[in-house]
Amino acid sequence: MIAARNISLTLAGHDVLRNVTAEFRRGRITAVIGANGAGKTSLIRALAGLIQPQSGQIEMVGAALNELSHADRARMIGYLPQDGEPAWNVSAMELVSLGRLPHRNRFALPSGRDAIAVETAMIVTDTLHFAARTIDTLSGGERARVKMARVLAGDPQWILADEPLANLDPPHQRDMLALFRGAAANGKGVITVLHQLDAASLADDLLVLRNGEAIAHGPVRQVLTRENLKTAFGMEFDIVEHAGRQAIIGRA
Amino acid sequence: MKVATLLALTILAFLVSLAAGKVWIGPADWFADTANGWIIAELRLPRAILGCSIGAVLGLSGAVLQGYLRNPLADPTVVGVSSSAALGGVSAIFLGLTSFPLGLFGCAMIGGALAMILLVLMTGRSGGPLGFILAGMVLSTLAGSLTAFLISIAPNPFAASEIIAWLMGALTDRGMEDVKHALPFMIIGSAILLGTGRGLDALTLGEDAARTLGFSTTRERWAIVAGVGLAVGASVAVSGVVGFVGLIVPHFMRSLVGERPSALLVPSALGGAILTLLADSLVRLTPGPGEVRLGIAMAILGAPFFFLLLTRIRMRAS
Repeated sequence: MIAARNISLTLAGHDVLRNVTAEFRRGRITAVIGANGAGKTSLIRALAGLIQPQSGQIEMVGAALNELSHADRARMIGYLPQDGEPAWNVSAMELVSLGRLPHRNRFALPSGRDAIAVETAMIVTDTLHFAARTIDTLSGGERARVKMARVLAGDPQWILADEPLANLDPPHQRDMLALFRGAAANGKGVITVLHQLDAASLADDLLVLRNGEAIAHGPVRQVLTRENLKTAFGMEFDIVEHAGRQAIIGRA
Repeated sequence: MKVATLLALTILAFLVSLAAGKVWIGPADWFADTANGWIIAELRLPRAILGCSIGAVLGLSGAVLQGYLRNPLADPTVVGVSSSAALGGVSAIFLGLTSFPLGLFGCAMIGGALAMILLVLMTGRSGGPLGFILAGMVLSTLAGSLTAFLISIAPNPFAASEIIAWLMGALTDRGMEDVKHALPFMIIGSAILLGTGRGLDALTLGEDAARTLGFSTTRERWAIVAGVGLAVGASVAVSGVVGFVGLIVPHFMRSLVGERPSALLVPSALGGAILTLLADSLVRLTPGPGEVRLGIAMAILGAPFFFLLLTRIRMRAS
């Protein structure tokens, strides 16, 4: 379990998170939704240990996150940043192998376990067939899968993703959600910022942020309501059921 | 395999550097008790060792800095260590300290060390590559202006021309004493730099991803400042400023061994050694009694390459 307890964060004099308390469980996908500037990215970054809240505490397996060693934290958390075009034109497999860095000692060569983890991650993400190709030659969707494979190669207990569906076409969005679902089925916890409300409706849990405050948190069926959406986004939505799924339509 | 080839080429370039010069000396004479044997032992051997080690640390530092700054246009001069060490050397000449043992070398190392301390103070615990580049530029500009100031107030034309000649970078008339002074710093600095490879790999994914992979970008930066400071500081202290090696070599190696930063370090060191050894052999072959300064030769070779690099990057971007 990861728990945020009363965390508040101020960046450059601006209250980004205010007293956010939330518990996340493994084996589930939690979508974090809210308007631009609501604090979604800040929350994910705080959970990943990238920014330290001024007050409150983030706990992981019962210990405070900032008391864990960098290496332990790196093995437990896989973070998929929003931007992150690789700086160098490395091959797909070289990129995925970076996910094994927390498992390797300084100067140690990759072990058999590293190779198996990399290959498994590339099979799951359907990227193995272009393992030797360099990043520059891949399409946006292929790159997104390679980056996801990098996270999976580290075999983390938690996957924290910041808008992983941005710039992906519908089939690639579907594939990415399927990868999250597979990870959750393997007992990993997935926490992801999502702007696509239809995609968010496919998560298990929803955390709604508004002006840095968590205004609702719980199973999608309870939290994805017109009232919550109106409070979060300041506009009206209709929620339509179709074939057992929900479509969220913003009113003009 | 490629590294083995590069190593073989380095040894070959080293041997060429021993043989080449105003007089060609074949291997048969190297150990002979003759004038030629003396030239090898007293002049060419230290010069070859310095050329090899200076080229290696410049290539290695360039590869590390490009990896850290995630920019193929970075080189050891961007952090300001070269120009600060040069300012230290120039101060020694200006103050007439060159006649003391270690006078010039010591002053140059102090200049480099001051630059390292200022870099750490200016970039602090936070701040990404941009702050690092800006701090380095400020240091370079400051040290460059102070150097120009010292030249302008030089007590006599001889001092001024000595300073200018030293600044141009050369390996002429270096002896085993210089090797003994510089080599330990270069070895320690290189060892520190070689240890940054994994962190540089992680930085390929950006700073956030690198940190979540367990790397401290602050520690990485301090290691790079220390490594470059020691290695490049020592190289400037014995040879003046030799540019472009750190820029060109990693770029060449990227097309040879791929772009993964850690895989680039050793090849860049070897490539830098080969380039510097060959360039230094070439400058000795200039007709007449004198020789072209190594720093000048390298810049004349390097500048067109820099233009080529820029246009190619621009073409890829569009």
